[in-house]
Amino acid sequence: MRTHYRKFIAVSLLIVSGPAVLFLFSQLRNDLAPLRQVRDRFPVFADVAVDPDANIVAVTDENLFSLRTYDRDLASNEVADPRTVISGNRSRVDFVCGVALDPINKEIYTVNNDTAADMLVFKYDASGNVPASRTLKPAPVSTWGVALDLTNNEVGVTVQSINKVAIYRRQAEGEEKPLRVIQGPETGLADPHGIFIDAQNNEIFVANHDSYHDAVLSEDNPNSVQAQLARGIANLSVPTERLELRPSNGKYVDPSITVYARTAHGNAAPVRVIHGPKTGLSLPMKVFVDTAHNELFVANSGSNSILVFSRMANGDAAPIRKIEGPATKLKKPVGLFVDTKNDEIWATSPELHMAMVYRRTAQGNAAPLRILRSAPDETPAPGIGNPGGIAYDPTREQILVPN
Amino acid sequence: MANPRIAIFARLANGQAAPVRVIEGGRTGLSRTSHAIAFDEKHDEIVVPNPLAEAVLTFRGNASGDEAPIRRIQGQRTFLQENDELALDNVHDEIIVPTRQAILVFSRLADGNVAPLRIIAGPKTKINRARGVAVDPVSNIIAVGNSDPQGILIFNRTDEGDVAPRSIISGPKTGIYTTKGFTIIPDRKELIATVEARGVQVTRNLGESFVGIWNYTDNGDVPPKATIKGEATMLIAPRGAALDLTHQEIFVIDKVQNAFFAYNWQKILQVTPR
Repeated sequence: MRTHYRKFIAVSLLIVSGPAVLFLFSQLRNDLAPLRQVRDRFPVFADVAVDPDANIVAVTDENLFSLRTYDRDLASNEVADPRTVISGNRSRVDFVCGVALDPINKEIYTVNNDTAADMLVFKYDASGNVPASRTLKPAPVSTWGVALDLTNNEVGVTVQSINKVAIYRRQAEGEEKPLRVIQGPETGLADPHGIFIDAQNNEIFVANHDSYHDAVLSEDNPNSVQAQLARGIANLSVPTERLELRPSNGKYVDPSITVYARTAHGNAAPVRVIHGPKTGLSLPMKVFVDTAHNELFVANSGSNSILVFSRMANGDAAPIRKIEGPATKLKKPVGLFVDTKNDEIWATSPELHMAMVYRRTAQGNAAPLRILRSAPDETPAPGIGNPGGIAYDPTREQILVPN
Repeated sequence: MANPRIAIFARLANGQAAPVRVIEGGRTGLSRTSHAIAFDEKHDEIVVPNPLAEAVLTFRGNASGDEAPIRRIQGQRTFLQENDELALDNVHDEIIVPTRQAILVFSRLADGNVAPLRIIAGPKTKINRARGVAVDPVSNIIAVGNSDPQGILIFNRTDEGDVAPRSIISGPKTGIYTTKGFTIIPDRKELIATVEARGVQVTRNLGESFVGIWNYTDNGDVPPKATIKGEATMLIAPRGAALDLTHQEIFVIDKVQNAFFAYNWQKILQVTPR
């Protein structure tokens, strides 16, 4: 009995004192624990894609660096249980943005953004810290959107920092060169985000923000030291070209949706451009074309809305309908998908930790039909994404963090 | 978050905290790649770069929501290119912007298509893929992170043209792979640099990257006099630091953790000197 009692005391002391000893040890080693930390513990949904036949929805999580799938028809007000979660250093899933599903070959396509800007392809059933089935290196940094063209067996990506759309074989991997590239001052591409390939009408739709500069060659080389530096793996002793000072050519342009022939190549002008005050475009993110109803959907982050245009809209055209208002729960929406089989629209509100589902024909202040949550309702969101700077305002006692 | 914005948090924010205000929207001119920010306490202004539009934007100190900048440096004469970062000198009213091969110095009040007041560039400068910058207007130095040679180049604040740095902190003892963000303590003549270890963006290992403190007068292969380092720090890829000397705290932003951390500054200074 006494032996048991001594064991109990010893174990209890160990449990109680262990963390204290570790803490003291860490302080002696200058292994400083933070006093406070502001960090989102929950997944933050960016883009969304749906395979209605397989009944799955895929979302990218740019906060915890994961790629997740859920049951498409999941109806719960609680935090949703994922079917699969791909995450970890072997997966190379990083600051992921765009996502697309291939329902024929049962594959998920995603692109990392500002770090290792690779396109990764996983099988539907992949889960855990697993390597991608295929990896493609389309850009040094800032790949954002990804779209599949299963009719022509091609995949397209947008690259923000160099104003570029690149089209590859669907099964391209490694350092394979693109089949076609749309890039140059005539293209109207400016900080491009979402992309949609309309194989039925042979067109490519791209959402553009408002920042533009002419990219220099070294910005476009995935193997440049500069590119590897962005990934934190460069051999810095390798000499590189010196970038001489040149007149700056940066400018702001109207946010726009540019439309190209599917086979456009080089410095190709768009066949149509939606831009102007009537459009209401502001920081457009994902775009999606519903070819069955000839409609173009835009996740319009800057106005907390989904804009719907005629597929053939051109110039300063007003949307034919909008989903916006407090009941919609649209807050800086990024992801978008139209499920024509179930007549539903999916959108994401990263700051609310949710993906929402609406009727395809919803308009105005329409409440979602159902919500996929990654955190309990009303969980605050720090909203810090791939940060690189911080400042302190001593007057207001506030900390400033740009994304 | 993929949205371009500046989030402003209360000093004591902790955990799952929302910002107290956010500057975001189409009028702001922000893109989602502002890898630096400076706060000007004297003039109550915020300065950030937008490299995608080759612009430098200045906002009111209490700006909020979809608010346009009060000044914008942009245009052919600026020579802005890959301008990821910047620092502010509110004594001499200057904004210092490193590009890959140069340091551009603008008037703080510059607006529009304005040429730099001074340019530090050329082979003698050894500036190569510069990342991160700090300025001390009292001791008159400008420090930039450099990729080849790997380390920190320190120039005189008023240097111009093809001039050699007055000192270079570089070598194996420094522990520097890449320095991404700087802050300074003018009274102590100390430079604080966030140092990202090679490969951590892939491995996501804790404790390899660190925040290091050097003296302005350090030159050559000099280890930091103090560090914030170790698994307990939670740091993976620190990219910037800011000091609150009133409350003796330092804030460090981490790219992989998508987070910022507050540390006790006094505790860091108590470590054994080199």
